[in-house]
Amino acid sequence: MAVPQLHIDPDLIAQLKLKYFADKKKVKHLKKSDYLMRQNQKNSRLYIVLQGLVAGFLDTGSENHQEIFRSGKNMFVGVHSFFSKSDSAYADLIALEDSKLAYIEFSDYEGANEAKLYEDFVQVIVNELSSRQVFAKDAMLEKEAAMKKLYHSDKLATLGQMAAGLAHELNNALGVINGNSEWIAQQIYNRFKNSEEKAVFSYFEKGYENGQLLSSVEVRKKKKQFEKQLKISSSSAKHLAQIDFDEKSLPATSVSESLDELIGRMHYFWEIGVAIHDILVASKHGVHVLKSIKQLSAADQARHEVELNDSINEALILLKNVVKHVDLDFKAGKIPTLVANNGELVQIWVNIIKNGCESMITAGIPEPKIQIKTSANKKGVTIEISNNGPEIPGNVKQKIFQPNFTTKKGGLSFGLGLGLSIVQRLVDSYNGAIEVESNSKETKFKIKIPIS
Amino acid sequence: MDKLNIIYVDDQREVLSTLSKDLEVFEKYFSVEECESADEALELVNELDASGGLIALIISDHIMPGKSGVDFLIEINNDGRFGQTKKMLLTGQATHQDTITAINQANIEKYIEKPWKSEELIDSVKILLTEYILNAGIDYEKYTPILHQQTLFTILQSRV
Repeated sequence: MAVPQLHIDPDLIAQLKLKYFADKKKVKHLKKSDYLMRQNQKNSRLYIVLQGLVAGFLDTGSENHQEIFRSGKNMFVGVHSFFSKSDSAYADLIALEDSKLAYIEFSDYEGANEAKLYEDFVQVIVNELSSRQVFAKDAMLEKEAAMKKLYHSDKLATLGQMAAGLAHELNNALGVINGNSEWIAQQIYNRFKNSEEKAVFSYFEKGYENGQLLSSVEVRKKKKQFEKQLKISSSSAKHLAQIDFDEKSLPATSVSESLDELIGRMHYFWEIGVAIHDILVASKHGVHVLKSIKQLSAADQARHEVELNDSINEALILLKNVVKHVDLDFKAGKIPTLVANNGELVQIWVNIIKNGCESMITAGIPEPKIQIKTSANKKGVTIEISNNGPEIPGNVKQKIFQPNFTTKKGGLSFGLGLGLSIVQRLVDSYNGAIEVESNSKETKFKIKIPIS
Repeated sequence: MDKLNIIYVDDQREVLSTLSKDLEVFEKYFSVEECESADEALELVNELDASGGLIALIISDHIMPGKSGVDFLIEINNDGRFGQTKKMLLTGQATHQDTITAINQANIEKYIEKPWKSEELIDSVKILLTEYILNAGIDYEKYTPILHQQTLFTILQSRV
């Protein structure tokens, strides 16, 4: 905490010093950590600090003594006990540096000179009161900020512990769903591949591999076409549209089977394939969500010597499916070895690059680009990741690093609103800094990590 | 003859596919249409209405990109052409306030949470369709097998 600023006219201090504190015999020297007086000790002296720094501590009975004021050069000590006539100090006064103080005794001024003493020191008293007030206020604000931070990190830690347990349980459940779905698909494949159904069985594979490929709008459009062209019932036309039927591939109907029945069989196999496909997609999505939540828990945080550029390449491999739609440019600079957790670094890049790609794809940017540049100087390393996606509006920019904030709401790419809050937390843990600049041409995330 | 439509809206294709399996039992009597967004659904109801179709029931998710389900249902509710249309919110994520808005401003008849149980969903759909058909004064006889028998009975009883 800083020494409170003096608000007293220096001339007045000089006059007071000359008039009251000129007696060379009334000087006290303190070494650093020496006590000037103890709480509740009798005090009838008023001190002025000539050199050094003295602070007052309240003994609250706990281990931490609460500092309540400090006085530097030309500031006064003992004002409260001296003028209030309470006679005893209400705090421990300890020298924070080697200090020199001059003092006066109250008994020297009792009686006739008392009024004059008060008059001379009124400004000192008022200033003392106000500076203690300021000190108390600052201390309170500081404490409140610390409490808030503590509460926040506590919340994240609890969430992390819960997440780790939750993730374990749910991953097991998802593993069972995933494994058995694949098994069922294999059984269906074995059973029908070479059966008499094999002509329509290809629709099972189509559904299994692609899921429902066409949008509802496309399905409606094709349905109308098929209704007209093939003169079939509207429900058969819808089925053909859903399976994205190619007219050239219509299997031959047997004598005993109507066209509607044949379409029904094709659609039936397709639908079973889609159902298993969707189960697998949903369980994969579940695994992905769990992974994101799990990042909040402190699993493996050990730090070793790592190559920064390698961690970026690793992230790009993980994001293969996302970045393949994007023009990627990675300019790797010469970077000294860092002491870091590779997994954490990869996580930072994955979150930022993935967010950038998704925002460009969602916005339908015609030539989406991601540029990555790494560089280093004596102080640390700088990583710049920019995209040519839409500008992040100012009000959104303020919130992107907050947990629970997301702009992604729909579809399987929906976000938990955790990505960039994780990035922020990780960058913080390396004493690094992250900033974002966004305009209509590009959005750039700049991360600086000091070399420790 | 006027054709009755059931429309359901969800931005996730996997959810639409799942829902369509539950609604398959209605396909014989109704035209069942899927939409991936509120805007697509609005366009579709306009088109259907213009060609003389009736919208019996709309089932909508709430959290979707673009227009939310509740906002979409409020629009439908304020549109005189769809005064009789039954509205159901099917969602896994609606806040308390969303729900209040849905009830007060969109006059939704039913709220079902994801994940839903097939039986409960089908039952609710049957009840709403039964109410729609009888309120709209449509000849219910040919729909009888798919209607909710208890609801049908209660409404007919009250008319006697």
